[in-house]
Amino acid sequence: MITMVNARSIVHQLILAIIIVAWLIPLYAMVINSFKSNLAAQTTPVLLPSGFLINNIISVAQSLAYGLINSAIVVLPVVVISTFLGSLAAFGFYRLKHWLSDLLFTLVAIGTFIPYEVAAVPLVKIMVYLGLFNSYAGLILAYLIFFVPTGALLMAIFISVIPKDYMEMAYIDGASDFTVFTRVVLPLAMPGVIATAIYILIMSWNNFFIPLVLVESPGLRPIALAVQKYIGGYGVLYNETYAGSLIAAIVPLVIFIFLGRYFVKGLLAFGAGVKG
Amino acid sequence: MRSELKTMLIFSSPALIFGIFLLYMLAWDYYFSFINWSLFNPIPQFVGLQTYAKIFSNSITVASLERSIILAALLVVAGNVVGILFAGLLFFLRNNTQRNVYLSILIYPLAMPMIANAFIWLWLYNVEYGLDYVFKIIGLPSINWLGPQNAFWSIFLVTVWAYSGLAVIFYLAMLMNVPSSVIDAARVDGAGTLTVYLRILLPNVRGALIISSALLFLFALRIFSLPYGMVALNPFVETAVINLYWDYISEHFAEATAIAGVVIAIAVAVVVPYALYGLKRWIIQG
Repeated sequence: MITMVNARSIVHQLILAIIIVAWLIPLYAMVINSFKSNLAAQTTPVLLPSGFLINNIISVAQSLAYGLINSAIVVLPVVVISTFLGSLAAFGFYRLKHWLSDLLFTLVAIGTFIPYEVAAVPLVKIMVYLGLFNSYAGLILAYLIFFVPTGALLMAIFISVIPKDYMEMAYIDGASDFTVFTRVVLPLAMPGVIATAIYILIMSWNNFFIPLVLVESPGLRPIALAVQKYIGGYGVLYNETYAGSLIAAIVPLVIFIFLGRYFVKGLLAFGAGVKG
Repeated sequence: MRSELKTMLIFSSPALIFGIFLLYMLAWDYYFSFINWSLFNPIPQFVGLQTYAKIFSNSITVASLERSIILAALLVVAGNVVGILFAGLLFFLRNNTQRNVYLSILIYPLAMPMIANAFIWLWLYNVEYGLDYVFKIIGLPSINWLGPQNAFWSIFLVTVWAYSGLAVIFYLAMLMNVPSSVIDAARVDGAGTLTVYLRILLPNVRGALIISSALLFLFALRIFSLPYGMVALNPFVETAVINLYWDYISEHFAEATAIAGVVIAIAVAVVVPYALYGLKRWIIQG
């Protein structure tokens, strides 16, 4: 009986190990190949490691540094503004049980999930009209159009699980809406606020399409777009393509490794698992 | 009620400006899809559904719309299968740390830029240096992964790798919420692990099926940089949103807005019921 249980748990672990290894192959390939020399990239397959040389990754990192800076300039204000305005709006929806708040809730859900690509033509025309085409301000504004609704949707879900009594008590004590929001709602929803910010940070950092249509000067490209120059077809050595991918992925990947539970919490909020 | 309406409007209005901006762009798409505006038509006229008739008679556009819907449907099916399978395997692990680490490994592709994922797989699919190198050694036939016959399926495989983690977290979260007394009762009756999972646990996590399906569909609909990074603007593999982008850069603005009109209608048809009957219900329960 005991051996049967052991055999089953070994099979269980083995199946999981195979899945996990399969899921890690792309990450493994990205890391080992970023540190290959040009010679190794011409003579070894992508699944086999060959030495550990930093020359390749350093030269790619230097040529992509401007993309990282551009991304930081654009994404940080987007994260702060989207999370803050989203929280305010979410508190507004929460206070009122009215068909209007259902309507607004639906609107922010549409803003969160609509494919960005449908905005291509109007977005460019509007940005040209406003004189913001091909600028940081235009990029930030365009990201906000999609990520403020994301912030509002996520925060509406996180605020809804705060026990009502806390807010009622504050109102009985004569607190204003704004005091309740800053003193009661925000502190109690803090893990949700962090989850919202991390989710928006990762998703906006990784966004490819919005800068693709809104940025013309190569020098303004955020990292996800800047890395495109390493596509180069099969003429380019693969160690450069992989190093480019690593540079493009490094910030969201490091955030995911250290704060991944908040990213998962953000994703879960789109479903039913906010209590978990 | 009146003062609460005022509160709501004050708190929501800064965010609503962006929501209105979005609505304005969607309305703009529909407006321009009904007039024949282009660089060659400086004085646009109302043309009714003519542009829609045009895109639906363009075989490349029709094929790209079909491909997007097929890709989304396939991802919904594959994602749910992976979700049910992997969440079950993770649920029966005894060690919490192991479960959390494994779950993170299944989700990390979602946190990566899809363009980086596209580049990684571009080379894994290389016939000389990629997976085929290993296939050759172990005696499997090599596959021309990104050739015209296989490219769609190879890209689909990448989407399964990249997005299935979503379904896993929803199934797993709901499985963890099933009271352990329910499982113990079935165990006492002598049910095996598989029976417990299929007969007792899965019927309790139907919500995960709805959420995973809606989200996988919506994420699939906006897939752009994966095929764009792997096969560029290839009319035989492109999704609807890539076809839209192609019309945009080739300055077929009316066609681009008409495709946008179709994509918006599909997305809204999924988002609205999901928001009102899915999300909203949980909010009220919460």
